[in-house]
Amino acid sequence: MSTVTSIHRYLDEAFAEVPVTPDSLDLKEELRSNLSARVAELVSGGADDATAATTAVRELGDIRDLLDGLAAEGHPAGVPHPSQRVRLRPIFVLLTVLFSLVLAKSVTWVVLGAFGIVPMWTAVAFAVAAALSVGVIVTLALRQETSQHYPMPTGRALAFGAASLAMTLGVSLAAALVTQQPFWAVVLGVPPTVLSILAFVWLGVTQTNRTKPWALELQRQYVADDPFTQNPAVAARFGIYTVVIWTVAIAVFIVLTMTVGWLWSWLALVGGFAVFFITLARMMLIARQSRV
Amino acid sequence: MPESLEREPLSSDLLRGHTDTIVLGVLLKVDRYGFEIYKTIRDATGGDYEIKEATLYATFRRLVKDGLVEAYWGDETQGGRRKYYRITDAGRAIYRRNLADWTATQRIINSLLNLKGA
Repeated sequence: MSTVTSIHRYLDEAFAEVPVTPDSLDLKEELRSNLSARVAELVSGGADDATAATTAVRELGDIRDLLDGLAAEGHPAGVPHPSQRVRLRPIFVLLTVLFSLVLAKSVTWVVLGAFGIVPMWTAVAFAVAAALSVGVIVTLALRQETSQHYPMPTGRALAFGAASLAMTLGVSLAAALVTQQPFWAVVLGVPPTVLSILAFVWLGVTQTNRTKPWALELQRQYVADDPFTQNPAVAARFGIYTVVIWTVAIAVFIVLTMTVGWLWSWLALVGGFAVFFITLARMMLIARQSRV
Repeated sequence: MPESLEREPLSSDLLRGHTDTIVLGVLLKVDRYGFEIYKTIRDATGGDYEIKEATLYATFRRLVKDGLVEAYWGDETQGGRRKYYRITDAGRAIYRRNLADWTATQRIINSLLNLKGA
């Protein structure tokens, strides 16, 4: 048992600093299986378990370069590793199937109602049932986390569900009432439809990825690229330089105006301007170069 | 590169340059898993030269990335699962080319090293 433990411990320690990605897990398992194979070979050759484990690890050699390479590769996008696969909740599957059946039956009866085959109130009742089913199915689907998608916040999922419900209600009500008397009853389908369109527009324009974990992670990792943001001391120094440059320039301008006159004194301001921008360029660009 | 105090013998440097081709050669006839490849190479040299296993893993990853070999997990029923490597057609082509290159180089170097005064 101790050989197994020591190989596992070695691997756990070696991979402690490596980000867990499908790729790194794969390499870890590969190393594990090959180390076990070598240990088995050594043990069958007469070595005791502890010695065999130590020898196998020593023969493996220095895997730091390999791991550094892995760490640098980071997260490859693509197919999720089995360990990242999200299983659907049974209750989600069950309810979705159930309400799909209800929806199928309701739509059939609404269509029958549209052709005047079933009584009006039956058709209206099934129109409501169809709308409710669509609302529940949409809400559940948006709340369900999948391998590719985060679950939507409950409130927003409910809002999408309600909007879908209203849309279905409007359309199926209109369908159920289209051949009934009085014929203008069809307009009862209009308000829910209009409401749902407004709701979808509002939901669409307020949709955001801002609160998703990967967006928050990106935000956290964002590093401003200019030296002033990265190094407040540089920014403060530049502020002081600016004050000094313009104070001197204006002082020289005033002195020149009083001694030499307007004809030449403006050159002091041009000089101040030039010095100011050269300072800015040096601090902004040379600082960046030396950092790279 | 950090300066290394111990000097590697030249032959080991030479061999390292051919690790890719050696691994491709080992896989020519049959798919093998990592430790099997290591063992095959170790046994073939009779212990004269030992490729570091860590180096081999870097080689596997490079070969897979370049599409010269494919990796797949075996379905052993008992014991741990093993990751096997299979050579691709591109891998065979590269192997043949490297082999031809080496044969040519070997001939030239042999004749150059045997110039016994002109």
